[in-house]
Amino acid sequence: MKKVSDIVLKIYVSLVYMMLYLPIAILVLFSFNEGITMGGRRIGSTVLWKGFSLEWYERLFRNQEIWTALTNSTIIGVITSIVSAVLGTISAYALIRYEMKGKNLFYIMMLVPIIIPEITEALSLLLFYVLFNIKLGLNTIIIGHATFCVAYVFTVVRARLSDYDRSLEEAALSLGATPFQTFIKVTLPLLAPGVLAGTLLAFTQSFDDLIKASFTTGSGVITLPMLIFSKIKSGVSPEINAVATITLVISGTLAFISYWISKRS
Amino acid sequence: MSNDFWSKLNLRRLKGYFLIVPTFLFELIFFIVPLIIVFVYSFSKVDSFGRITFEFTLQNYFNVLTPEFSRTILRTLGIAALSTLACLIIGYPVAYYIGFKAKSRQNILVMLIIIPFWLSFVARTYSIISIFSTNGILNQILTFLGFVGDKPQWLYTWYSVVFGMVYNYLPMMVLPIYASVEKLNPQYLEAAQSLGASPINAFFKVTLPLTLPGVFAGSILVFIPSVGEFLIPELLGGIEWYMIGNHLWIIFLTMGNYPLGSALSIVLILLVILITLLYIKYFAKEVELSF
Repeated sequence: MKKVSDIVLKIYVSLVYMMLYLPIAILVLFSFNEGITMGGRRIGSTVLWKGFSLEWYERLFRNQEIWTALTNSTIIGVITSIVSAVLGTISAYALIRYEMKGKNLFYIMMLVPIIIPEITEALSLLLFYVLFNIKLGLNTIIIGHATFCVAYVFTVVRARLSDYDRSLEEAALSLGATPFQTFIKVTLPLLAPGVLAGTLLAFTQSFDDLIKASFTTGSGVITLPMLIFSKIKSGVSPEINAVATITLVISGTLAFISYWISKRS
Repeated sequence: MSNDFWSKLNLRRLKGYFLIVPTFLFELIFFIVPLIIVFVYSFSKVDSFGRITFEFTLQNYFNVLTPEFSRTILRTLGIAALSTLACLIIGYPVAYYIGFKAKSRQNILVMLIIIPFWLSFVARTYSIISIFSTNGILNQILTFLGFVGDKPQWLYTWYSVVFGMVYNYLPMMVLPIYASVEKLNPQYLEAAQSLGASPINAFFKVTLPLTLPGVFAGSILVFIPSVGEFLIPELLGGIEWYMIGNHLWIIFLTMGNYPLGSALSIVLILLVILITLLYIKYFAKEVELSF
């Protein structure tokens, strides 16, 4: 009797995992689907398999729009994650390391950007920019992403710091290291895995963001998720599968690196 | 001695504040102040030319409470609640399995739950379209299995929206429940069973109450993003299943009626806060009672 229920549970769990990964697998598969020529244009199906081909990737490779969007998303992601890493790390460190009033208030302040619906954050920032006449573009997207990415890095680093052993720092100081040397040589290496994991998470969250970028963009700046979204709106095609696959590969690689770092430490 | 001590302490404090001030100011200026601006805008006037004047009016809130918007608000709450429930029903056994039955493969199973969270949200939501479209994979499977007649319409229904939510937010439900299942001492269960409780009885009297904190955290983590969701109803629901997020998008980016959009988004924020508080109050009681 017990065995049967265990087997049922196992099958059920396998089905749920399949549900999580099958759509992604199908999306990737059909990015390699061969197209047909119709009315002088190459079109392709995302549901009927014709044969293996790399034509959609070749097409992407020649598409200047995709390259621009990819460059924009990368620039935004890199700057956002650097800003978030610095702000998130020093504040998490300060909160654990020093006595301060109003700590709880600060925790709440760093929690709210993660839990509040993103669209309300996005539209409020748009109003802020409009009200103060700030020119919309790359910079305004970066600021928009940083407000929630700082909170992500802060949360990840703080979780890592909660079991952080301060006696190592004290040992370095008592052995004659200056506070700055201690921070660089002792504290930072101890923090590094958490900071890296948080930074990678910040990058992927920025790189994959559609809503905040759409609300805070201007002067024709378009990011990769925005490009994919506008293409989906004008009809599905294996070409979208190919761009989507590229974004999956990029964020998947970063997820793997993050996992590898956390496993090593 | 004591003088030295105090100056040292103050210096340490100052150092802490000094390190925290940049982050504090950043979030204050670009996160808190904009929210206050939304609040102010929601009470402002817009004339027929689209010009905004800051004169106090409640008109935007009255406009939000018209039948059309009220229906959207109710629809949003319904879909979010249904999605949360679906995530709970589908996710609980998974968390239970990972925490209890799969000791040796726990790490890899948890990692497989986390990975989708790292992958592009747009790509994941897009991937559902090929499954649900009229000639999509699901209908192909149904035809293959021998179902004939009209192909069922899966896309642009409430269940495709709920499926999209479950597909994207399931990790948010599984992880906290898994965390509380893992903390559970299996000896409690053994004790219950050796005292004569059936496995089903033991589950409802021991396992479920002890994992309620995880259920509670998971439900909040799924409900909040679902209420504010834009992309899933946009791609899988269509205009008929538009939620508050879709209307905010149109009001802000197409119509440019900032006062009306601000009022609607204040309503959204209040709903999220109110329902979370009610949920905490109700569930906090439940959790207390169960111990």
